[in-house]
Amino acid sequence: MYVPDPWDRMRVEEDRIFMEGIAEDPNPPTDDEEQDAKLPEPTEPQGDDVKTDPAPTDDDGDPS
Amino acid sequence: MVDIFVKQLDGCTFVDGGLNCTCAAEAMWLFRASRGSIRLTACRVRQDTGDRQGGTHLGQMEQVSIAHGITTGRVFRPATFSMLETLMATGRYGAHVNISYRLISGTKYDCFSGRFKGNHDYYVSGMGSTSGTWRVGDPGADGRRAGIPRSYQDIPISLIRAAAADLDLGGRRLGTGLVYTYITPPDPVPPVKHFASSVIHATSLWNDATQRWVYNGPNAIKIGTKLEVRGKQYPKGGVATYPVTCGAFACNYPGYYVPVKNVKLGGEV
Repeated sequence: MYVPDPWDRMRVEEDRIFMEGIAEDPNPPTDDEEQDAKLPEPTEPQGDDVKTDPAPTDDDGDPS
Repeated sequence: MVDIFVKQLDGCTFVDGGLNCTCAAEAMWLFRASRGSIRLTACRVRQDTGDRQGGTHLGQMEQVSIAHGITTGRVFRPATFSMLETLMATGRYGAHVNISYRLISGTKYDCFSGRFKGNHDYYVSGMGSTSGTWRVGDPGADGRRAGIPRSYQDIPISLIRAAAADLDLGGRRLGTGLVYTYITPPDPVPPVKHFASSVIHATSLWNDATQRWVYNGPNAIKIGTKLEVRGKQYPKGGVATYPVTCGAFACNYPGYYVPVKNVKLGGEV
């Protein structure tokens, strides 16, 4: 015969509470939600664009 | 993730290819962002900008992307380098990374034989095959002669961080820990499969809403109980778990998480 000790009784009571809480909607992320990664907003003050510099093009074999 | 290497020295007559590093990186960026459907040359990107003067910048590349229907990338002038590292580590992003070539020149990664030390643009495709590196498309890496790298290289992130901080903003350097970058929208996550499973050890379930284990002790879910789970693991309550779902196989305890060790997966459903 199963005789719960006080600790077990406490856990059973806890389980009862949480079993009643099934409507709490534990919802793991869905497939769709995992698609929903977004790029973060800038955290630094944004500056001006800067152009790149001309690289040498007169190497041997350079098609340009 | 898909990537392609695009060289800048492609014989362009619209503008000399030496000025088209950002355009070549943009062609690589667009290929990634479009999942392989947009395949352009550096010269074509340059033509799209309509700009025949000097090099190009990230703002122009954003306009090219938008013109090709990619609207959800983001330009940072600057971002923190650590934020870029975090995003790259996910494997879901590619990025333009503006650098100064001063620190690259003379290294084994140099594609211009020590003759270029100006501002340059890399396309970074993701993590490299060795720890602490990124997989980098240097638009000059066309292997046009011996000693010049060809295609993607694994370059130490620490070197790229230093080169990004050294970007010349017209008389001053960008600064430590910062980077001018244009990041792709995230790659889609492959669909997660759902599996039939059965409980093989009496088990509690994790309620993520309350952050508690439930169905403990005598209330444990019995051996043999059918559960339909998503085949992706999440650490919950200190153990690896599967999310329990509701589907054609079973609709028992949906929304909870079951420890991986307590179920046996069957076929895909």
